[in-house]
Amino acid sequence: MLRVEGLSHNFGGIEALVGLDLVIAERDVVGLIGPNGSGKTTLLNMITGIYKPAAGRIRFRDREISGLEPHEIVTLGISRTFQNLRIYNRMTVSDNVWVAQHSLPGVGLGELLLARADNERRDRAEVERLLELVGLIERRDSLAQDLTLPDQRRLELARALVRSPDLLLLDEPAGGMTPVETGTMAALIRDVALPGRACVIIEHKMDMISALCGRICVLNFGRKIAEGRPDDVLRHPRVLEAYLGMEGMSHA
Amino acid sequence: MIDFIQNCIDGVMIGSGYALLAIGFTIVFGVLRRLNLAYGPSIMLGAFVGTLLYVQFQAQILTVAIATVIGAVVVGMYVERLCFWAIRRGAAIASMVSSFAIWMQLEEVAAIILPERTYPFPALTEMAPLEIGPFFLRSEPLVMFVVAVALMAVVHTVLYRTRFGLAVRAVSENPSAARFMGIHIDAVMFWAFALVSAIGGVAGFLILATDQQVTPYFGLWVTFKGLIAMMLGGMGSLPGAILGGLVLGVVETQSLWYLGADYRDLSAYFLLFLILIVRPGGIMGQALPERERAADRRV
Amino acid sequence: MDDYVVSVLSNIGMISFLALSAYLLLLTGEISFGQQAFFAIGAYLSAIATAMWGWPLWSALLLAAAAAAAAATVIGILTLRLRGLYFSIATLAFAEMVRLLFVIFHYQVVIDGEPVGPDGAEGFRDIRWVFENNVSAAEYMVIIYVVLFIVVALFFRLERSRLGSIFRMLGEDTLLAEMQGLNVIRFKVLASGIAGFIAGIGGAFYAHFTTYLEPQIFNVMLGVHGLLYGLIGGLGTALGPLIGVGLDIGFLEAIRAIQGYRMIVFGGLVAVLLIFMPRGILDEERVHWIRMTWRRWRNAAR
Repeated sequence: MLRVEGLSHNFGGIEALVGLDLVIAERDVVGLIGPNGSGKTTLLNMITGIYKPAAGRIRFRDREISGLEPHEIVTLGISRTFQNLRIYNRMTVSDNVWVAQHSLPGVGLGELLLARADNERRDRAEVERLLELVGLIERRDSLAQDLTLPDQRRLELARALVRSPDLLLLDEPAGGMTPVETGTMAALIRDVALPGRACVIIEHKMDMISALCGRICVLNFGRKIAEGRPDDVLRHPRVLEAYLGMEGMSHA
Repeated sequence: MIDFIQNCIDGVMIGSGYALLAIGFTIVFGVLRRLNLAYGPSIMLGAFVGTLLYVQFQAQILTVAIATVIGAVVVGMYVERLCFWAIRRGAAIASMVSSFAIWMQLEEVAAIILPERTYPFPALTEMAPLEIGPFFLRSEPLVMFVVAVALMAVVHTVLYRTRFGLAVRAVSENPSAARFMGIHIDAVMFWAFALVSAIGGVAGFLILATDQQVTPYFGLWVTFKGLIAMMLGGMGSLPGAILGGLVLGVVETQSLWYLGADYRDLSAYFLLFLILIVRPGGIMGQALPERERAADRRV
Repeated sequence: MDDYVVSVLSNIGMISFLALSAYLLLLTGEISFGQQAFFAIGAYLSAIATAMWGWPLWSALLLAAAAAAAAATVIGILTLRLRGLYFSIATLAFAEMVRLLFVIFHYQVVIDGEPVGPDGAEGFRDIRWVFENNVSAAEYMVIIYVVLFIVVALFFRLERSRLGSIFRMLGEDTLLAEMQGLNVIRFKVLASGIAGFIAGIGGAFYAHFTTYLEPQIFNVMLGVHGLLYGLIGGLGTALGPLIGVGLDIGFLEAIRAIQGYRMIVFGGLVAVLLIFMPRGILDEERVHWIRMTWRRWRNAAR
């Protein structure tokens, strides 16, 4: 479904990605790990069109997407969350999810201005359903900035699910959470996000990655240094070497 | 052809004044990442203090110069404390908005201090124009040019050969890193502002002493010239500021000569607009830097 | 109602259009120093239509606003792909170009033996539609406020619609908006066009109120004022910029003691206010709080 071939990118002399190859099939759950700065987020940024590759290609369902704009790529069925958490702080929780529906097919300019009552009801009901799914229905009228961090991450998840994406990219979905919160988040992802779609999860929390992912890909300095089943990869000498001395390896 | 070269000469001399103004904007932008829109009016108020001394007390030219610079610095301090230091670092827009609120305020103060349309300003020099072949070098712009170049050399020395200058450059590059290295950011910003205000005061003085008159529109005029010159050369680049100033001076002089007074300012703005659309990085900047999407956070 | 009050209220009404115009762009995260250019286009074109071509006010108003909107759309397409600060300066450059173009713009026709029309820096006199049609000052004020009311009502509708939320999304987090499938430039250009239309209406009213136009009126200061009103009144609601206008032209004007010092006081007030309320008096959080409190109060009352 997603095919990354020989992908390379640099930022003014710093090689962020070097000749990366990756294949993700429908319903694959792939973990992406590596020390800070190894290019994980850059890869997501490139898949979603924020950066155009210096070399290499990205194909989604046999369609070249490396030249497309982000807003076009999203409509193809790819959704993501952000490492630094991006939500509309000054909007309510339910509005944060509601606004993700804007670019769904069927929402033309007319709808943007004056939505038909039954469409509006249906859309709002969908928002409620998603909030219920992630457990935020009680906080629907709070401003997003007033939520706790774990709740904000759930909000991001709900928002990413609005378009029922076929490929979901999660960038440190448990970032900043305590072990207990991480466990809850992992369960939520497993129950709500994973079913029916492919997923790439970037994380530093190995227990979570092992529990959720069928396959792990390890990056270091922009190159793939290992790929395979979690048990194998996490014992791989090169992987251990890459992490030695780094605090990235936590068993949360 | 002779006219063209004469215009270039005149333009470069006038442009040196613009270059100083652009340097002022550039340093503030580099250190604070914000535009100080009250820059022009603060220089104007400094000039008005000098004018007051000249008109009321028949002060000497040097006294007027010093008064102008001191006035500009004092007002600059007021602006810095109120608009930039007092507003927490995150709220960049609020700072800029604050600076235009103060801009309004200062314009009105100026109108109150000196209500007439125009006032005389002492002449920079009484020398006769120099003649080099078929070209005339009027003495006032020439003196302005010489002083401006000297001042640019001073600024360069300060920025590249003093510890203060190093601190300024460090803060411009990366404020958080600078703070970790023990640089006192607030102090650096304060003194950089003071330096910039002084440069502005000198530039304002030079320009006015060349024109020998000052009007209440001077504040706005300074802001525009400085901004245009800075953007022409490339925002954030000091050599760009200088180049931009000179280019602006030449473009103005040429259009004044060939198209007439009405088109002089119009050409300057048109050039600015064109540069922004075609090459926002300015003459010295990159064509269009890769969009820093990751850092695209609002206030 | 005495003439002075009518005059002040009319001023508030007309400048509110300019403030709303700047506000709409501010919502999308863009600071435009150039809305006064569209105000000017609205003023001049509507005046030309009524004073020189004999058009009635309504058609002149629509023509002028449409022209302003078209100009705003074109400028938007050219400039909105620039990053924030560059965009702001481009709008400044554009507005000054417009002003200077009006300085060299001469177009006159002879009516009843007298030349009528914009005459560059000399100005454009005798925009007499109001007198020729026996509209009193008070009646004119009412017309301004009726149209203003309609525009504000439309803004309120916009806030509840998807389009309104799109504008706000652009202002809060452009990258995120893009990640949700929105073509950022297209929507910003749309906002620019609408903002131009609103400014054009204001300008048209202004021309027929003062009956005299000159390029100097439409300077950067006017544009900066427009921006300040929204930023100090608050960006949470369309009432924000109106509060800003009311504060400056209404409240401060009323204080006789500070007659000649209004800008000093207003400028200082804005600077101080921004230290404590960087997003204005009625910012999004306050508006949200008001909305929630109102809802709770209403539910409790049942």
